[in-house]
Amino acid sequence: MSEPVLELKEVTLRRGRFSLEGVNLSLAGGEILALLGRTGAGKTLLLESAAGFCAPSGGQALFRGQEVRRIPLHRRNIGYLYQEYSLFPHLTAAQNIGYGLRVRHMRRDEVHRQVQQLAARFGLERVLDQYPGTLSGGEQQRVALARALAPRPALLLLDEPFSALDPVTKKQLHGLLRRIRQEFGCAVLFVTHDFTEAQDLADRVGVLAGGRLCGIAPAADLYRASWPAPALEFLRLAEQKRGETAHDADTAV
Amino acid sequence: MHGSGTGSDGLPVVFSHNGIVIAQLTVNLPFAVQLVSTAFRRADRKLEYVAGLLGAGEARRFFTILLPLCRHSLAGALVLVWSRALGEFGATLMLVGVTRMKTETLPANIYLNVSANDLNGALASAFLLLAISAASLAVASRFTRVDKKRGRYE
Repeated sequence: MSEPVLELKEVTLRRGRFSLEGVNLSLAGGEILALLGRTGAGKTLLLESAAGFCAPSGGQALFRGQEVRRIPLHRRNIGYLYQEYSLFPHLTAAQNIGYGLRVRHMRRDEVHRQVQQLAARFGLERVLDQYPGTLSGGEQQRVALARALAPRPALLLLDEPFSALDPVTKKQLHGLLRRIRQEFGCAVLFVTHDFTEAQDLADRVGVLAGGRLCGIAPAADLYRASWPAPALEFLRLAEQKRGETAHDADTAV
Repeated sequence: MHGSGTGSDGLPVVFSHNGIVIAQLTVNLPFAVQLVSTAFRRADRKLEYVAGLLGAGEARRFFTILLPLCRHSLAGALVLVWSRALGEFGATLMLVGVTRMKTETLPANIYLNVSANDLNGALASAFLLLAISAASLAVASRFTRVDKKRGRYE
């Protein structure tokens, strides 16, 4: 059995009065794992500690068997997508996408070729010369994804990647994420508060509730698995919301 | 005492050009450091982290991300410090005195001319100071101008 790409062992995060205790998870290469939780559950903090941006209060975050914070930032081979995209505002879309290739001293023509290829895959050909401040939310999201994937990371961490998008754009990007896993072969960990999204996209889904990771289940069994009380309450609310949404769709004129 | 020591070591300070530089550094360097460090501290650290994960080492992150992000603040800091240094008079007077054609800065020249009742000479120096300030402002505006291509709003 190959070594997991990402492993969190009893990771504990405490910030002021907030705490997330004893998170254990393991992510294999090529797998998509979604972490569900309401706002304030610690999803972003957990993702940032998996990337090694901040030290956990306890436990270990391991990337390919090594403590992630011991690996120099520029050697981690991890792609990260912030919720607000964090594109470099002083660089064009093409320069943003090619940044990770240029810093690896790739030849200019090869950088150009790969940027063009990624742009075609993500539908960004027409906006390559534009700056992030002039792009729509969906375009910024795609540029940020293309930028994160350009260096072929072993692990992709996505912070609520589709939360700010309209349903049509979301559906397009969902399809893109599925193709990304197939074409790029990277492990993906994304956090979201959207249950449908988690179930549709992920192989496995974990639920953060009550200050801990309540468990991880196959996505297909999300509503059949046995969960502790805090997670159950969260999932029941979600199921209720799904029912309301389906009813609204059925009764819409 | 220190000045006579450095003077004998081949670095005259008191009543010398070197003293002007030292006086300016002493008065303006803390101001410059404060402005520049504030500019860097206010930069979005997330962009640095992202650049790092994309493979950029520290030096590369500094020159390709941090410096361009802070260029407006740094240009503003440069203008402020330069303006302050242009008008610096007290510390220079204390350390190097005001000697015509030797330790004579523009503010010192205005002071000497007014003391000697040469108002025309003082005015000429004042206008020269004004012209240098205006030119500095024009150059700084060039660097702090917001590029309309980079945003949605004009």
